[in-house]
Order: sequence, then C-alpha cells, then structure tokens
Amino acid sequence: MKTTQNNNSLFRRILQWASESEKESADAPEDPERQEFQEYLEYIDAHDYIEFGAYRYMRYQQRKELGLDEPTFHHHIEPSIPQKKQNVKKSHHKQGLLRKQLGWYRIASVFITCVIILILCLVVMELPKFGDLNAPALNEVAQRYLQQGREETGAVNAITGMILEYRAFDTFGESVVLFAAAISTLLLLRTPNQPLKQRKAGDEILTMVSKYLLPMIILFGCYVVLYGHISPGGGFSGGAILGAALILASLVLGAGEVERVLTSKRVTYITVFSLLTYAAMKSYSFYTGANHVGWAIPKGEAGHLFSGGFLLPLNLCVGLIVACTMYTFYTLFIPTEEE
Amino acid sequence: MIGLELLLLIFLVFCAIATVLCKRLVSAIIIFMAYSAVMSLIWFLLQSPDLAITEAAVGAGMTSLLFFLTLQRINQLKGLEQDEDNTKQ
Amino acid sequence: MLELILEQRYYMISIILFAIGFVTLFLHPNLIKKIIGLNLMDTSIFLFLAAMGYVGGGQAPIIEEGSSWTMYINPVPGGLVLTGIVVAVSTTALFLSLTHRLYRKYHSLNLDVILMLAKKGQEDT
Repeated sequence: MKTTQNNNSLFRRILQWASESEKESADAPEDPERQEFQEYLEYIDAHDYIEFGAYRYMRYQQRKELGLDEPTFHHHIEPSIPQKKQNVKKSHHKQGLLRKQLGWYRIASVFITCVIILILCLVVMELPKFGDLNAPALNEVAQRYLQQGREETGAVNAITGMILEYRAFDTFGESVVLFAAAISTLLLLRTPNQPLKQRKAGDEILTMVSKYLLPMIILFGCYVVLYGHISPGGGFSGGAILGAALILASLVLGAGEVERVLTSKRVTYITVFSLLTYAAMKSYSFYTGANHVGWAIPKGEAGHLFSGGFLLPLNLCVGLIVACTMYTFYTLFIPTEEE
Repeated sequence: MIGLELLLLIFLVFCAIATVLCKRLVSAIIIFMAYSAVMSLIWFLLQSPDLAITEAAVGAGMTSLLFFLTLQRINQLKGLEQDEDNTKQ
Repeated sequence: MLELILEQRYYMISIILFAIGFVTLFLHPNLIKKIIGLNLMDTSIFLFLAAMGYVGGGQAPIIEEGSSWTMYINPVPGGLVLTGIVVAVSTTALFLSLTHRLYRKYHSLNLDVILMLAKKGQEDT
C-alpha cells in the first residue's frame, strides 16, 4: 500500500504475487489455471483493453493447435481424497462451462440490445408527433398547473411552483436521497486521522481568471436561487452553481482555506438544518390542508423578490442542501496525504 | 432551425461513441464534458432553461470533476504522477 | 419514412444514446467506462422526457398574466428531469467511491481481473 515509486505498478505487483505463490507450492503439480491467469495478465498488460472473451478465444485456438480439446482443470486441491476430488472436478467443470458461455454472453447482450432498439424504434414511430399540441402527455394536469398555478402557488415559474408546491413531498424525498448519498459516500471514502494533501494554491492562470470570475459565479448562483420562483432556475440549479463556485474557491485558495470556514461538521449541520426547515414548512402546509390557512399567498410578480409566499425560503433550503452536498462530495474525493 | 438541431443531435451521438471507444480515460471524461455541454444547449432549444442551467452546472461541472478526482486518487494509489496516461499500465 | 424519422428525431437519438450506454454498461470491462455508460443512459432518458414535454411553438413556462395555456410547454417532465439530474450526480458519486474502494483492494479497474482476483482470494483462504 505504501506506494511512492514507479516499480509498484499494477501488473508488476500482480505478477510478483503470482510468481511468489508459485514458489510456495513448488512441489505441487503444475497449476494450469494459475499459469493461464498469469498469461492473461501479461496479455492485458500488452493490449490495454483486451476483452475477456477475445482472450478465451485465443487460448482456445492455441489449445486446438496443440490438440488439447478438453479444458484443463485446477486439480491440486486435496488430491488425496478421491471422492472430494471428483466433486471439485465437477464444480470446476461447471465453471469452465460458464467461461465458455462468456462468449455467448457478449453475443447475447448485443443481440438483446438490437432487439430492444428495434422494438423501441417501432414504438417511437407510433408515438404522437414531436411537439404535437394534442398529445396525451399534455393532459388536464399540465393544463391546471399552467392555468391556475400562478394563483394557487404564487409562482411565475411554473416548474418551481410545481416541484415546491404541488409535488413538494417528492422534492423532499429527493433532498433526503441527496443527503443519504452524501452520508454513504462519507462512510465509503473517509479516512480519519489522515491530513489533507498539502495542495499548493492554484497556478497563476487559474488564480487570475477566477479572481474576476468567482464573484460573478457566486452572484449568479445567489440570483438563480433567490429568483427561482419568478425566473428560470430554482433551488436545484442554483445550488449546483453555488457548489461549483465553492469548489472553484477551494481549488484557487489552496488547501484548508475554505475548509477552515466550512468544516465538514458545519456543512452537515447546514444540510440537516435545511432539511428540517423544509420539513417543518411543508408540515405546516400539509397540516393546514395544503392551502396555508392564515397565510394569504401573494401572487408572484415578475421582478419582485418577496412575492411568492413560501417559495423563497423553500428554494433557499433546497439550494443550501444541493450546494452542501456537492461540496461534501468534493471534499471527500480530493486525495489525502497517504493512501 | 431543424438543421441546427440535427447538427447538435448528431454531434451528441458522435460524442457518445467517442467517449465509449476512447482508450485514455482522461480524454473519455473530457469528451463526456463536451457531451453534457451540448446536451444543455439542446435543452435550451427545447425551451427548458431550468434544465439547461442545471445540466451545465452539474453534468459538465460536477460529474466530470468527480471523475477527475477519482482518477487522481487512483493514480496516486498506483504511485504515478497525476497527469500520466491511465491505461498503459 | 425518412420524414417520420426526421419528425421524431429527438426520440430516435435518445434511443440510440440509450443503446450505446446499455452496450457499454454490459460489455466494457473498465469500471469507469461502465459508470460513463450509466450516465449516458441517464441523459438519454432525460432527453426523451424533455422532448415529450415540448409543444410546437411553445415558450418556457414563465407564465404571463392573461395568456392561454397552450402557449407554454408542458412543465411536468421538466420538473421530473430537474430532480433526476441532481440525483444522477449523487448516484455517480456513490459508484465512484465504490470503484475507489475496489481499486484499493484489488489494484485494478478491469472487472474481469477483479473477479478473477476475488475468486483466487476465495480459493486461497
């Protein structure tokens, strides 16, 4: 695992492993499968994307030339007990069959894909024309969202009104999925007690460009989040832009500058707080019969920020969740000092 | 307009095939970035600016960045410098 | 026939992209290429949905007061795709972290090599 030099590359290491284990069992009968495995490794060393089926076919041709029709078995496991040996042989025979079927697997998957394409193309020919106004997809649901969405949700942007008001529970589920993905990535990749690799601050071109670009990106991200209900955008798009801006800042300023302000604990707190706020607001909404009793929702007006009722804080919550998740992914994926 | 749409769509298919057939992983990921950018243009043509913004930030930015960082970590495990060819091992 | 294909160009292209991703996911031995294939499948389905929602001559659904609803495109697929894109990124991150773990154990990105090594490890113990 302590790899700093070049001679520890993948295949040399595996070859070393193979030869060593062969030395250990020198008096055992020669193991054709291990030999074959070693040859396979050498072969893929030479041709970098060789497929397994092609290699099997090549071996098969070689064996045919030598006059060996039967596949060779792995027979050094417990040679003293004949009954068990037979069992082992049987199971390995089955595996040999499986390997033979690997070639069929490739052919079959290409064939299945062709059939699927054919069926899908035939279905597409029968679909309503692209852009047809009378298509069944444009039914009364879309009509209601477009006709009464502005009065019922207060959103000028119908998509934001839809995902934060009509389908708010769905969006809550998506946010929870994001959080769960961040947590499981954390479980898989976190290496505690290992300092971050000391990256030097970005090079000159990156620094010069991002000195002017970074404020613009952050401004644009904030605009997209805040004005999500009255113009294109919303929590998901703006959150992604803000997350990208944070990552760019952390790349330019070098290790630890952004991490000092936004520690992983704080990022998790912000995410959980946003999730809980979202849940609380939507619970109020559901509890009062999904029509916000006591809150007369003002109609959204283009150009007025505080005009969409609950939509602005909901957008903020979603934006924060997405930005924090993106930033968490980045901090988990940057290389650590020692692997 | 149909000409532009067809051009972009054919470029999309070309990018997808090139991504799959490309030998070097770094080049494959860069081609995938181009694919995402063209996809966001197509969504703009389909009158969905929300999707276009999100795809430009997420597909071309975040996904490729995650791929690059994974490749960097893997190269580090291999004991290589970061920008070396990934497949010729 | 050709006219029909030209008419349904978005659907056809999304099917082709789906097929490319599908074949890559099945047949390419490299794990990172498999994840790229999965992403291709994702985006092709998003393209299909977004094309479903388009209405000829429609505008983006930023609603003006007193306009008829047939002026705008269908907002439902847009909302679905918007959340789908962000979730696709999180699944990609999860797959990449799993790939990294596999590489740390077996020192290979080739799935065939990983399977053989895993089999070897089972036999050795």
